[in-house]
Amino acid sequence: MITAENLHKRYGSKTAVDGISFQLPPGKVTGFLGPNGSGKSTTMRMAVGLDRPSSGTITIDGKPFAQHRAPLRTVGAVLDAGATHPGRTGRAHLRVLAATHGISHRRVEQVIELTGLGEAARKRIKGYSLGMNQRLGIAAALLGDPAVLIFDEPVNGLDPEGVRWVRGLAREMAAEGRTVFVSSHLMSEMSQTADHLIVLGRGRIIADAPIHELLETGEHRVLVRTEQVAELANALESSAVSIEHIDAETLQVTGLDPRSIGRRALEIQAVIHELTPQLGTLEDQYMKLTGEHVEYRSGSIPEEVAQ
Amino acid sequence: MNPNINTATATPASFEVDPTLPGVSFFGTVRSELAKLRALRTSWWLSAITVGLGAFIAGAVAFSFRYFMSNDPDITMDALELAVQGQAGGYFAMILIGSLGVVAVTTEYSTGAIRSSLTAVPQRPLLLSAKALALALWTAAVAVALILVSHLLTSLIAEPLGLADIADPEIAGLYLSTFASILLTALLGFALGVLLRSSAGGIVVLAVIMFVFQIVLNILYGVTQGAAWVEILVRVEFMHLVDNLTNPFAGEYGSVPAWEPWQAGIGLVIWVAVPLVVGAISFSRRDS
Ligand SMILES: Nc1ncnc2c1ncn2[C@@H]1O[C@H](COP(=O)(O)OP(=O)(O)OP(=O)(O)O)[C@@H](O)[C@H]1O
Ligand SMILES: [Mg+2]
Repeated sequence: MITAENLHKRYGSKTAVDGISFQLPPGKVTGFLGPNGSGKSTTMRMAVGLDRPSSGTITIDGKPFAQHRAPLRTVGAVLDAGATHPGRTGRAHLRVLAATHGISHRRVEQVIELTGLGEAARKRIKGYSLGMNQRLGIAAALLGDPAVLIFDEPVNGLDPEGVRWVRGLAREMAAEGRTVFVSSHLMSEMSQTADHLIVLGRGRIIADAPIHELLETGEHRVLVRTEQVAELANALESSAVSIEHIDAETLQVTGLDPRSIGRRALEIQAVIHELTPQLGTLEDQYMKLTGEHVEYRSGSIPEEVAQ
Repeated sequence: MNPNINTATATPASFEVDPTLPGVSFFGTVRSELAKLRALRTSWWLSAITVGLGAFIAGAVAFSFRYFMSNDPDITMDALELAVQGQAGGYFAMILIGSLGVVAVTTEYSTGAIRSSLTAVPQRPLLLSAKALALALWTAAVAVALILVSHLLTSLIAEPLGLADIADPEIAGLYLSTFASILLTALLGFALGVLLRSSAGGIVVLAVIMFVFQIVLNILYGVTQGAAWVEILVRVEFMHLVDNLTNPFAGEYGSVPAWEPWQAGIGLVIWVAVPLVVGAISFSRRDS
């Protein structure tokens, strides 16, 4: 259980976290979303006591992290992949951390195995790829078999196999009754991993809801392929629906779910070849939520460059 | 309505950490910090250079003394004087091991490893004291090696210092004071590293404390023709205190009055304790 109460963090005149409160229950994966600079990493650093709140509190099972008798067994955190000494080997790094809690070398070998570090554990960290570093960070987080996991963008730099593995890991850990807190930029990633989402914009919470609720309020977008494009488009026409003609056989319908489209098609006897709900509804929802809270907006690329 | 409807949506039982498993311990953290020092190549280099240079200086001093003695039998030196000369490597040890003290902390900041260390041991005073103790243990080992090697070479090469003289109370006291000043300088470097979080910054400040202060104050002493306030500064300057602690003959050649060794020792402890305490307070409070 992670609890934040009216948490603030200011760096000089810059407010990074602006009075947020939340409670993350065990047994769930909570996703932490927000644009660049919205305060996700700052919140996570405060959770493990690296930064101290300007005001407010963030506690783990009711106590500040530093007051737990076995911190490594309480929280496993992957905050940034570079928090290691490049001259040490991966194994030496893990052993150094393990020694503080009397964790055995056997457990070190287990997490090396578990995270797929394998042979790389013998090598100096300075030779690691981004993905290897990320795996080492996760190995360190798992060392103490902790009750709470805090992952700041864990899939950053991982290959598809690694991404899938982290997703499975997060789900598995939550299923065992642990509290899992994962930040990410990939909405699609969150839609497959998280049970609950907290969306942050400029240091404030702009949504805190189960993921299905956020999805339900999102608009449906469906790709329809049919032989009777014009007829179907006519039949679906209404004020709440917008239809885009993609090509001679394909429509993109926004504002209607696939089931209703299928029924309408049956009514007018239209032949349908494809009816595909479009992914990214969560993404849309997210963009809508954070649109006005974005601090660093990408400029549009000048046309000469884009071509 | 089914009264058990809630059980279907209830969260699974929360995961409990086995309370019998060991938690973070000071002893474990010291072991962890020692392992870090061992894994740091800088530690081995600086320590090897310290002992090697100490041995070289002791050998050179002893040989040149023997050479002068054979040319001019009127030159005499008692065992204690010779032992003092033989420990000249201790001065280099202070700057080298002092730099190791700086680097032992600052590499954690320059690499970011401090964030891993602090998530394993968020109790900052505990982490810092374990670090300091690990450094002190390492330094103690190096200092003992340096002192023994220097004694061995000096006593084997030149008369009248004998191998067994290490048990002589005056000579043993001299060695103990050399040991203490190396240890204190390592901790001073450590404190500077904690305060400044920069290897270059820490080593420069250490060098200023060890070399520049003395030169500047001596010039000032000459220019002001021994003004009383300058004399006070000269007497409390770090290397002056080291000299008063480690050199039993300091009173015979100094331009300002020498302290008793125990007074000098207290002065040095203050020199080290102040930055250490300020560093510890800042370390416990700041963001990492
Ligand atoms: N140590 C610091 N000193 C000064 N400002 C900081 C510091 N750390 C973070 N900030 C500022 O606080 C704000 C929040 O940063 P934070 O890293 O928490 O964002 P984030 O949500 O993790 O972003 P990203 O998605 O890019 O990782 C940013 O504006 C950042 O510039
Ligand atoms: Mg971040």
